[in-house]
Amino acid sequence: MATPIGGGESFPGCGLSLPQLLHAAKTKLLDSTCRGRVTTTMIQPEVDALEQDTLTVLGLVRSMKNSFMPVSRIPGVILSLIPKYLEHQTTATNKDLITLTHVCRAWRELFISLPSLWTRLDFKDVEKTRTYLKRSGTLPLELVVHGSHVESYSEDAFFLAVPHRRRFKSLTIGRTSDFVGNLVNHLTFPAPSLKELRISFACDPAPVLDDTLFNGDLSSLRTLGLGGVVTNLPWRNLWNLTTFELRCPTDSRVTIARFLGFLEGAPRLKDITLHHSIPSSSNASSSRVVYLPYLKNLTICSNLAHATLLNHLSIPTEASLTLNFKFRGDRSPLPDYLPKSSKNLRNIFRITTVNLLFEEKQKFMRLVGPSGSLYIYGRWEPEALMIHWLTLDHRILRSLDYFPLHMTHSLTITKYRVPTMIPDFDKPPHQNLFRAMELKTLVLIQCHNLSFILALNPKRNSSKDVLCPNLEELTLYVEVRNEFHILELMEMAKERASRGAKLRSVTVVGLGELVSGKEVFKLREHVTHVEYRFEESAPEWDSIFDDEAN
Amino acid sequence: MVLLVTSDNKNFVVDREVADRSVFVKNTLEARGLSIATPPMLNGGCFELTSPFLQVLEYCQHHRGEPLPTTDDANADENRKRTTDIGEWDRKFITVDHEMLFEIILAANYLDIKPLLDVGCKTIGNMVKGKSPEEVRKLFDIVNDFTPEEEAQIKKENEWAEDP
Repeated sequence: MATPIGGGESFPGCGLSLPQLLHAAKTKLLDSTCRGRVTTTMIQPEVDALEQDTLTVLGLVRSMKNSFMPVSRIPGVILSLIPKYLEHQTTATNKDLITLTHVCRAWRELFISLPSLWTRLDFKDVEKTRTYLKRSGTLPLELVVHGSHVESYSEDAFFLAVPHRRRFKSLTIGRTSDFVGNLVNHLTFPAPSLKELRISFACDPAPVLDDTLFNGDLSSLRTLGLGGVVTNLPWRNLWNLTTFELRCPTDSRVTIARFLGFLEGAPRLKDITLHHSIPSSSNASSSRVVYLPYLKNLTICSNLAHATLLNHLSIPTEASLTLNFKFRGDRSPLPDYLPKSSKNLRNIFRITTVNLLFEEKQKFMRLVGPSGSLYIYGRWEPEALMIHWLTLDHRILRSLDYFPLHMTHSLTITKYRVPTMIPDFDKPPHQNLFRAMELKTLVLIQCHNLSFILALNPKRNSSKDVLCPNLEELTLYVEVRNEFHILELMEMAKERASRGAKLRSVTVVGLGELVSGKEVFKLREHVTHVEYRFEESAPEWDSIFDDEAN
Repeated sequence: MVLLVTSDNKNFVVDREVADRSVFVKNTLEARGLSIATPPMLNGGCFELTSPFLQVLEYCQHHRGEPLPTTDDANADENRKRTTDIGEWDRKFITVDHEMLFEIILAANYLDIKPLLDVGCKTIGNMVKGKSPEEVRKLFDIVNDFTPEEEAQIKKENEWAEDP
């Protein structure tokens, strides 16, 4: 609430504020003039003018008083920064900003004179929209339509902005009900400066986006995000688009041929995120491959569609590919989720770091190198009469054959358990390590270590070769006493040393006091540096967890 | 080492790394190729300089070695502004009376120490956040100087200013 006109301080001696005093004086004057037979109408205008002048002078005096306050030392150029720090704290248009304009005349003039503070429109009120449009001058506008209540959006307010469509810089529509579904139908006018468009619905039926949207011309867009809408991606002239996100209703996925056509029309795409938007079968020619030269990040959250799409995409070097899915069955999911040809994945031609985590129902893989990276997050949904999850892990590890590991110098595996029914020679550690000729660091966290130790021992492995001849560091996080195989470890270190592949360092980390330090230090006979320590818990896996797969 | 002299003729000898937190000092030194600088004449001597300058130096000492914000990334600048979180040390540092807060902000602006200016502006932003105009006036010793016409306009604005 604003204070009464003229402020509220009392005048000394009478207990009245100045406006009250003025009012009393005016009443008294009018009363006396009546008694003096002077009509009120004769003197009233002069009294009103006097009152007005007095209040104006009072305002000026108060403005002068304000100018001596410490806060007035802050120049307008700094004061004008304050609303920028308030912007994100509330909704699109900021109540605190309005408050700042209601504090005093100097602040009001300052903040109203800064068009950049008034460019966000939320269309909750016609007058508010009118005021913002006026104060924003000629600057580009950010339009936001959010909320789930009728009161939170005024169509009339939106129409006020339409004549300013040349100033539209971004439009975000996020609705949880269909009362604003009509809004999309109104977006048929051209918006030549629109850089960012995000439309997200969570209502049934989902609105349809076709080529009438913004007159079919989205060529100015840099960012396009569509969620909960039905679309067949008709736009093909998206020359400036760099970021694209698509989340379609389950029953209206975009065909592969349409999607590839869309990608060909958006050659500058850097970031693509797809959520359950692509079907599991392709209607495109099997030889059709789209190359995205500027791609930096491609994320696909789906259950079946990855390989279908990846068969048609060439992922450039330095790009990061994230695959997020749920899977069933008793075999490694990798063949289903990776393209038929590894040539499509140019981003992982040189994998130098591999990090694997085998949880019971979640399988994570992170492969990184100078040519790019691949993150895989698979959530396993066991079926009735399903094989044991250890066997599945075994098969997943074997399927790493798909990837070129010959340049890998760091391999970290967490919670890998070897099923007992698998014969030693068929155990994947041997196969994986056999290919990792450049491996320098091997970290095994809460794993069945023995099969790795045996594979590294040229006397005990099936090929009788020194696997990973450049291996320098071996780190074991041991959680269970019977996972620490000191005799096998010593024999492996001894055999490697005798064949010119001496380990530089072995580190044993006891997760709890399960291992005797004396036993560990026996390794010093064959290893340059031996370290032994306790830790409360295993290191956290460096996953990027994504709820989308839940 | 760098010698800095304030407008009230107090000398401060500081490490170059500390002095370089100020883009103004850094540029001045680089332009002159000198290790001794005779600015900063902080604001024409309207107020005592030593006290805020000591505060500013304390800030620069604490943050020495940290990467300076780049001037060519507008997005980073915007993101920095939009984060209202103030670090623990900075929060304690900036817990001063209003007069000192304003002087630190002025000094940070003059010396071009963007992170410190950010901390100052965020602090004011946090003070203002959620308050009514009257509460803001009380906070900063400001009186209501609006004319009746302006009051009427403000009253109209109040009708839509309250978000539903």
